[in-house]
Amino acid sequence: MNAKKLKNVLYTIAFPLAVYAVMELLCFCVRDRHVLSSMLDVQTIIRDTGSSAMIAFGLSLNLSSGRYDLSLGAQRLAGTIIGGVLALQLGLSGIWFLVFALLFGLLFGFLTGLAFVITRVPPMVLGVGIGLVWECFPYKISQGKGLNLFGVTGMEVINNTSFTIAVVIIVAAFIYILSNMTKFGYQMKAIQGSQLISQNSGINIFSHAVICYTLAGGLVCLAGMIDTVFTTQLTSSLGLASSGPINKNMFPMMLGGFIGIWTNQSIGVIVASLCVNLLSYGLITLELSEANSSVVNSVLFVLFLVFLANRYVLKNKRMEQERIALAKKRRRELAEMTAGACIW
Amino acid sequence: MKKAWMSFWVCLMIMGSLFANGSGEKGKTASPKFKIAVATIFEGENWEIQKSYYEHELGPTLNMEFMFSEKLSDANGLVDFMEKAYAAGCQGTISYVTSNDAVAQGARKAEEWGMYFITQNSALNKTVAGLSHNLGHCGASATGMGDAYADAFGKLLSDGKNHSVYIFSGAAVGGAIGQGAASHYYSVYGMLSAMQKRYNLTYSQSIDAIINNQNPGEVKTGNANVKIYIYPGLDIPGAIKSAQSQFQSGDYDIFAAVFNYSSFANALSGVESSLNKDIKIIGTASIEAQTATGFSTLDPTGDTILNAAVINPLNVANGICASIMYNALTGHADAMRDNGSAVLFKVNPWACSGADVYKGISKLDKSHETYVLNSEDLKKLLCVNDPGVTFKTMEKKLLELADVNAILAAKS
Repeated sequence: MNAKKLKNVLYTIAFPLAVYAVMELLCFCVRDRHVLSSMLDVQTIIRDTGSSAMIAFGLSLNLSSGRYDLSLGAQRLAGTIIGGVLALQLGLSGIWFLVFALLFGLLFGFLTGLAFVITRVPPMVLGVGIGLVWECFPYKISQGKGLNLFGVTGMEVINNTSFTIAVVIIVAAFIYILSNMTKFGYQMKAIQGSQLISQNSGINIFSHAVICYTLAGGLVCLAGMIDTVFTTQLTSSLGLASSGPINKNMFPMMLGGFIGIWTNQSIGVIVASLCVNLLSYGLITLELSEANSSVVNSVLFVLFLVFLANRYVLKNKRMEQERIALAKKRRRELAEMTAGACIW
Repeated sequence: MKKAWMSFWVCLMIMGSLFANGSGEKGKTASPKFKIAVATIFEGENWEIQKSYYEHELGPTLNMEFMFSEKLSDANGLVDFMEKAYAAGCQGTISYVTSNDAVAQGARKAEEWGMYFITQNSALNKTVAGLSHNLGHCGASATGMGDAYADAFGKLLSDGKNHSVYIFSGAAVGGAIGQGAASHYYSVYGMLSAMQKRYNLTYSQSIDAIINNQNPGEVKTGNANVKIYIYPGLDIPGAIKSAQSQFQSGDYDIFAAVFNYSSFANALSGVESSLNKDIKIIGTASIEAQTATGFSTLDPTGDTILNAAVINPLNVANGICASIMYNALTGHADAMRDNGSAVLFKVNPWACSGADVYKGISKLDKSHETYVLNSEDLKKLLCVNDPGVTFKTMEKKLLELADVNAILAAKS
């Protein structure tokens, strides 16, 4: 491994290590406890990181192209509940729940994407409207009961940490290959630059958008099912109350884009999810109330966004000052040369 | 000419059929149904069971039809729904939105529109108690919840050993003053009182102050061998992580949840497997499939997942509220109030100390024959059938319904 690659790896690892070190110090000093005190805690954080990373991947597929899909939460709800209810009624268990959730997630994502390209309604507006519609489907199909997996046997495989790690690795590899080794990935980079130029140069931005919506729907439903199997239930909700779990993962998504500078987007998002989950775990160990924890998370997110928007300001200012200093020096030299020529 | 006669006879037949329908309707004189708005804060299986009771038992018995809201959360949502209900012709509202603000605004709007209004909560709002259309409140009894949890805890703590408890207190903070959920508040109150009585604990603060602490943490009990940890709030994922972490320390062996105990089952099973230690779970539950599953499914240590429960009689408050509403709509509103003031009606929950007891309770609230308040019971609470029925009759009935064994005997 050359020096530059080593430096990039170290920078990437530094983030979760730094978060862990800070939270561990705080928890030890304030509560005399560790952030992670057992293998169970490690397993929980791996599961939470995996779920968070998948939602962040789903968000990034559209957001990086300027589309904020507010219906992702509703797609997660609809795909997970309908897939789960169908699997239960068919007497299936285990991995089939994941498969059904994925299929329904892809379906709802596809339909959302199709609605976007046909109606040309701005994504946020469409997201609100179609999200309200998607929330009705699981409500109706489950008769308001949602998905209850309490006491359902055969779900141990989904709760297994190794399985979660395997799913996350497969998803991360898929996103990496898609973004960096396929025509789709190159088109995505072009569209992120300029949709008009991309369209004029022959890229079908509409089919690209549909694919992004489809994949995003599938990813958030995978995450939804993994979470639901652990907590045993997912309640139907209306009025876009389902968007909470998605909005919570904006921070890992944005942070992942930043950390990805040193590696790539896929690894960046996973590392960022780990950082945010370590922070949450630390705040729970510190015994902060739910409200105070939310405030801390939100303030850190806003500070990060401020940093992101202004990170080149100081560098630009320094470069400007160097240019001014250099220009002044050149003028002095020229003035001296001119004065010397006059004397002669 | 023939065509003209044919047309004439056809017209006559059509007019005749119209008149026939008209006179048929006059002869039957069907009484119009009372339209009642139901403003709910619930969703899920529990709520569907209650809706079924409203539609299939209360509706036909009390000649009512119901207009249900989606899940509401605050006063604004309640008032918006009541406006729509009023426009749709509703004559009364049964509200589940429990905050003081919601009760006050709802009662005032109902008074303005001439709608009767009753709230399902556990605290009397004195500011609007005097409004003529406010029929009061019906909710979990403070002492009832406390007693039920004390009973349910009793068996768990009766082995003479020291036990340490982790309590997920939900919306207990502010529950006594209408800011949170009163049932959660009084449940935790009952648990802390039971622990204090059993182990002669000396809390560093009053029980009220302990419950109203918004930060999770350990309660100072004055006994190093008996620990109590309280996690307040509605953040289930956070509570799960906290519970897992605390139980992993080995200090705690009883988990109590005022709602959603099933969400913690997998996390606590993991701890049981890891420490090879049984963790008892006690929670607030209802008569539903999930509770049956809890009492019949085994955890990694071979014990049932759910060890004890405080069962909310799901439909008792619904039946009482609907009966009070019917009495008001049939001109007996004064009989449902105490000297012109709204009354707080208290529903007592049932303590279920194990699977055997639940087997009997699970047969209730399934059908007309097993509803705790079915049509025969409801008719005895109506002033039109018995002019002697007053609010005291309702209170007496609720006291009778506290004895689950008597109910099981009556319904078997």
